[in-house]
Amino acid sequence: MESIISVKDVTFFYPGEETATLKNVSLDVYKGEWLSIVGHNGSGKSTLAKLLNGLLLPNEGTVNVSEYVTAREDDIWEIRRQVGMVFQNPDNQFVGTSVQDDIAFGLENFGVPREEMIKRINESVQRVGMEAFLNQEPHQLSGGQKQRVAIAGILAQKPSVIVLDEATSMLDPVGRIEVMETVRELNQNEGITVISITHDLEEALSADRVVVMKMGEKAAEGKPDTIFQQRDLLKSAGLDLPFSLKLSEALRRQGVELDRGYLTQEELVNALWKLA
Amino acid sequence: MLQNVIIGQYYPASSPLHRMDSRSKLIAAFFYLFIVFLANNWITYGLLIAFTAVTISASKVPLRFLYKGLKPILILVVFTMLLHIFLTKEGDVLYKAGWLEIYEGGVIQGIFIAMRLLLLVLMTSLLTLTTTPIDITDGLEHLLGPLKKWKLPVHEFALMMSISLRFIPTLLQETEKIMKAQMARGADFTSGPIKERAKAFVPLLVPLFVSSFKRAEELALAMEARGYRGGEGRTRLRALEWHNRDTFALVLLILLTISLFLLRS
Repeated sequence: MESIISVKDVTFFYPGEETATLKNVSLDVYKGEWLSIVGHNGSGKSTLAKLLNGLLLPNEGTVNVSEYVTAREDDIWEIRRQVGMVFQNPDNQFVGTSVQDDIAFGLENFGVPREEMIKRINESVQRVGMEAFLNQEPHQLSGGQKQRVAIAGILAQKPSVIVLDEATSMLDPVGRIEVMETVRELNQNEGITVISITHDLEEALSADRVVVMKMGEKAAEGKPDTIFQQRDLLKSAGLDLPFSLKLSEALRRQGVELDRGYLTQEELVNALWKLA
Repeated sequence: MLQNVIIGQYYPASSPLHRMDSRSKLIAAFFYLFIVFLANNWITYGLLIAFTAVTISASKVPLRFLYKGLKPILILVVFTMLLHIFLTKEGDVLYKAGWLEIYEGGVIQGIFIAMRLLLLVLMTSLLTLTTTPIDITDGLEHLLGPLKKWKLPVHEFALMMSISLRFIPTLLQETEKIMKAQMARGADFTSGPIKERAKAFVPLLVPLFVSSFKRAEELALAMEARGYRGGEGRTRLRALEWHNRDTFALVLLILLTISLFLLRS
């Protein structure tokens, strides 16, 4: 598979801090995949996210986005156009006074001509299902809607990667589903690579690949199926197991004959009703 | 309680004045500030009043909205009028009672000054009543654009304004939330002597300040992530369009100025 972002031996210190926030992390992100980076607070996962589009630069090692390098000053704008980022707080990334102004913000920065801008705004607002809200002001929108506007703003820049940095952690369950569905469609239908940074393992369940971060190091990497079977690893990384998995474990302890821990509710239900 | 806040005092409607370009409205309002001082007799004041009245009716803004804008300065108007009536000693004596003497010149002067103040405030409130704050910001950025040559941060100033405007409702919502949280823990914002009430606001302001700084920091990061690098090479979605009506309005204003010059004594 073709890799779109490659992180090589990256070490990162915040200025004035003794210990490294990231220690010798290497990572490849493949074109079109959905990669979840999970970890507890302070595991370095958000720092890793900010290294991906050059908001932070590594002290050692390199971060490449296709043929561009984040440390090279001439490349940084192209990298930021290609790697869009949705942050945690829906309010604090809404720059414009209305939905269309906010979507336009990125385009204005990249010097897109006005005609083209209007075309792209209309197009991207439809892709996230917010076309009815074009002139609404941010305080009239729900958190989930604001995050969808943020995604539309990124889409208008024609990105190849979307990074969700805990983008759903401040949303209510409805908003969370809204945002995840929107991103999933973009990932599946348009082949946009998605990197979702989260501490919510439920969210990581549906990823193609999972990277577990622990104390600034990459603790594990693999398919969700294999990662979630490693209970001790997840526990030591400070992560809470998905509900279905915990339930299967508890049932097993009670003597119900399940052959393994099940990741999703559907799998668990299917296994349960087949029991003799 | 802080819900439905309207920022500024914009009155949404679709009048010729609303549809005017914000640049022409800004120029006109600014210009008007000066020509008001040209009037010095009944004819010229009559002319200004007529012009203002026509502008008000063209704006379709209900009079009670204008009155709301005037209320804060009414006291000032009345006060200056009274000062002139009692203290200017010109012309014939109209009324005399003991030490109190009122002269004709004083009354006329008082009325003129009051009218001048009222006209000024009426016209400038019409600007803010018919133009959204963000349009005013855009207009200002365009008008002040040439000053960039002298390294004046016009773009930064306009961006700052528009971000502040965007965050006013957000911060109001947050204030309300913090207030409720403090009230739930027994804070009292509404009763007691002023000193106590002012003190009660400290636990409201501190968290608000802290969170504003946090917001500012996160916003800056989000802006950078979206490729913001200052005003250079930036295109704009919001476009201002200069129509014939804008030229027409400014020509009218120039005609008014010429007549004021001709008719003043």
